[in-house]
Amino acid sequence: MTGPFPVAIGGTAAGQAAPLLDVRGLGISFRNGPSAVQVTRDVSFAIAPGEVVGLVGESGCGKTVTGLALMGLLPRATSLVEGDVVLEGENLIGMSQRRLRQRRGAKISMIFQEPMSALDPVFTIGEQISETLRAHRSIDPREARERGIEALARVGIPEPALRYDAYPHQLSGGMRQRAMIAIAIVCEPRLLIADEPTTALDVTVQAQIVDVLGDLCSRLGMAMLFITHDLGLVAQTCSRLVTMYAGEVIEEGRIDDVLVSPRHPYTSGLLRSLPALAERKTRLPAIPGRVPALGEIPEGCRFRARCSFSRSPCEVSQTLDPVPPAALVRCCRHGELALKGVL
Amino acid sequence: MSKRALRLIGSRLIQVIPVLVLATFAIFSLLQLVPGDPAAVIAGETATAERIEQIRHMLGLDLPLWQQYLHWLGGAVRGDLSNSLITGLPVLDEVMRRLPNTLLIVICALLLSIAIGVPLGILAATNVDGRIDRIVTSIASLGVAVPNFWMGMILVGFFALKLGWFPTTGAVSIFQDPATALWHAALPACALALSGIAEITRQLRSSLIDVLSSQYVRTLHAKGLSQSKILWHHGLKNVSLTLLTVIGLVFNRTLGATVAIEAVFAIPGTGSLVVASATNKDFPVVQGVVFVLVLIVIFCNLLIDLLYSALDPRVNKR
Amino acid sequence: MDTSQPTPIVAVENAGVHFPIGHGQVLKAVDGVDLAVMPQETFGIIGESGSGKTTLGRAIICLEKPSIGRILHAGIDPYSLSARELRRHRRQYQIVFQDPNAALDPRMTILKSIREPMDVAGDLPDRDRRARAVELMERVGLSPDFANRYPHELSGGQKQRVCIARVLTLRPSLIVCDEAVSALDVSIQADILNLFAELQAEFGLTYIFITHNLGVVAHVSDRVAVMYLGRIVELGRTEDVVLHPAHPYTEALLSAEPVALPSQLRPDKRVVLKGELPSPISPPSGCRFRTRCRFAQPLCAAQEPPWRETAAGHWSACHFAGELPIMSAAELHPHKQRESASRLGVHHE
Repeated sequence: MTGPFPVAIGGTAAGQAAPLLDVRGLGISFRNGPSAVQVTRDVSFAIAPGEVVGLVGESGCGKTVTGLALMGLLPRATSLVEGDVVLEGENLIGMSQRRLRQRRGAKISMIFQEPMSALDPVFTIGEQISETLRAHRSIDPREARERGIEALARVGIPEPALRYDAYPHQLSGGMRQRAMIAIAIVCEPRLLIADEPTTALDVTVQAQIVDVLGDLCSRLGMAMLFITHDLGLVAQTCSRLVTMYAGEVIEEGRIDDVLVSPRHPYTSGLLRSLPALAERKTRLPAIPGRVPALGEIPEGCRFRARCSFSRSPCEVSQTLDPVPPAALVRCCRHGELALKGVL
Repeated sequence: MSKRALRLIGSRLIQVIPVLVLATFAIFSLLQLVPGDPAAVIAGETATAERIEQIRHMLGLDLPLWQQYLHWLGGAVRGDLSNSLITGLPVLDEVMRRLPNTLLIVICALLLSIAIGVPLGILAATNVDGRIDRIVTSIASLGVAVPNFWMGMILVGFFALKLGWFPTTGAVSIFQDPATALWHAALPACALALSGIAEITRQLRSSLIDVLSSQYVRTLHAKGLSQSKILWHHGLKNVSLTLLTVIGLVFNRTLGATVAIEAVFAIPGTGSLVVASATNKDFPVVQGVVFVLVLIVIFCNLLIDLLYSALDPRVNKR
Repeated sequence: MDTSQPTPIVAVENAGVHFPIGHGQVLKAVDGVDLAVMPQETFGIIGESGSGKTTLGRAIICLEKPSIGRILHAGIDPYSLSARELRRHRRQYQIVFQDPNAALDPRMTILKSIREPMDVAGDLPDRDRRARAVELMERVGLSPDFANRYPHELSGGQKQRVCIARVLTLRPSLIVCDEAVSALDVSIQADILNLFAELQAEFGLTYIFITHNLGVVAHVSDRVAVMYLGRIVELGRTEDVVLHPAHPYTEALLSAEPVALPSQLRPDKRVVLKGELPSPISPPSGCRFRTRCRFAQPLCAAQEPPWRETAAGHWSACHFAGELPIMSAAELHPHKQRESASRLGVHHE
């Protein structure tokens, strides 16, 4: 039993029939004067309708920037995006701003980490919900208000009619996050990108928000890309997991499979270093070294310097290989290694 | 009216007294350093030393300084700003006669500053580091660097003397003939507005840049709102509070700058009054002007603070 | 007094920290806490926002003065000392904060930051101070090349190591770790936690580990206290509290904590707290947790719960402690049962 979250509808990496979102070879760079710094490279994954996929990695791996790229929210002047992002058959990369705006908030929505700074402080919650509605539908103010209050009720805000006229600073952290979710789902998008939505919240509030999200995904048939660094949250909410390291996707697979038998040494190292699952008061097996800085990405496998399994084939740039039935991994030695997971 | 507003007004009224006392006492003390003797001015060039002494005694100028000041203060708090030492006429009347001329150019300058500064600030903030931004920022820097009386002289030299579009000097009461009054006030207001434009442009630009790069603007984009809606609806409402504060500052500064401008344009306002009286050490007039101007400044700032707390939803209205 | 018992290095006796917030109201961040920390143990304090755990940590090392009650250091009340004695005394009780960026002066080199406490104390000659600073740098895993670098050149994990080295220069007896690893990435966290364990063994340190992360606290602590709205609601040995919680709030925390386990090993039942944290300015009458407790009874609103020892060394503040159908270890942590079963050679399917 995985809680309120829907089991993926035909959710497998390979052999996908008409995915909702298909990301192919996404690479993001930022202009720095005459040169450009590459932040992510060759990011590929797919999300089926109604599926919840986790995008996991530590700080600096490029997961947030990938989420922003999917929404087309990277600054146009300084960012370079290559690759394809196909949402329901349309490629969002290269689409005009006008057409992108029509889809943002209506077909694909995003919620962010800090609800206080993510909401405009001088407008009421209600005004911020209704302006989303009115940006995408022709709807009169009274109906907009009704739909807005209904959205607040759907995310579990008590006394929604009262809270509709409240300002963000009058709500608690958990309520603000629910309000932000309400704003994001009021037009019933097909895909919700949640970028660390609960990191700033208490663990008991986090549990409530996670329930709200799961409930919405089931009821609206909405797919979700859950971006986080918390493997526990991913285990609780997602049916599939995509792991990123130093700007690349290094593993993808069904959640239960990846947790028990990860195929990439980084995923394995990450899972084994979790204090919650280790034996009490013992030394935690930590991954030595640090994530390479943006300007110092090594040749070949990016994880090589920290990997205890690296051999000479690892000096070559690694490709993302399919591992039947439903996984992908970027490691030339994945067939030979029997990596330990959480058990 | 909310309790908070009442408390604000109350605390301001309490503040008025010490500020008035401090300002007028400081001016009074400074005046003592000015060379000259009003008694000698009144007595005339051919007066004897005895005559001058007589007049000094009559005016109370031989009393100790602190006594002179307190005597004046006692009258001031009762609304009696005493009489000019030179003309003998009531100070309050003279100040009130001249005040409208000064306020006219100050208000025109303020409106001009807002009308030009706000669009320039928005233009710069929406084209950050671009060519337009650099041009606007340079103009703003000039506005800060160029002294307004010099600007006044340039304006007079070109638009008044050379082209003859505007009068060179004087003022007409706005109550008598609004059109002519504004015509006279045009050039002085332009000169005064220069630093106001610069200040508003710079503050608005930096405040708007802050707002436009904040997290909630990212959410607004994520909702699919257009750039113009984000700027005009959300952006402006968020900077309006900063703008309000800056307008208050610009008003204060412009009021102080009238002294030089009234000299250049020979406007019969409080600025020129205070200069002439200071030269003559006619301290009741000087202090009378300071008294009235301080009251105006405190009142305007109070208005701005009240507006601020009314507009900002984050302020606790209890 | 039982003289065979060692003196606790920190004894909190009904202490509270109150902050007046205007209009005659008082925020009781910590409101009547009793606990004792023994030398060389790791004492965990867990709680969410508004629980008062950070304020308690700060009060323990004299950054906040208790408004009621007292906090003793090895039997002495620090506020009974003279100002000069207190300054000396406080060196023994140190703290590592959550955000290493804010804790380091960006204009001071790493070496200067680390030796600053010794420079202020002025006990050792200059050469010895430098030597000890470099020695501690190496001990915490920083190469001596970092000595002349500035904080912005270091990563988060490295900066936290600098803060740890700095704290050790005066050979403290107790270190309060206030969310010391919460801002770090998972892989770095493991490193820093290992470092803390090594330093404890080597220097005989006592830790008070304040965090909201149950996984971390369960791993490092010998005993743990659970705080809610300024009070301790449960206290005991870590295994007892985590496997057999006596208080409904602890149960909710354990249930809410997401654990990276495959679906077949995750608990079936979940306890999700309803409602919101009440305002700490006017907490609920009687038991403060009753507004969100699934077992609340009228008695809970009428009377404050007694602080009772339900099992040896295991205390909780609940009228019905021991009688409630709180989830068992098997329900909260099914994977642990399976692990221990498989170790015994028994398999469940």
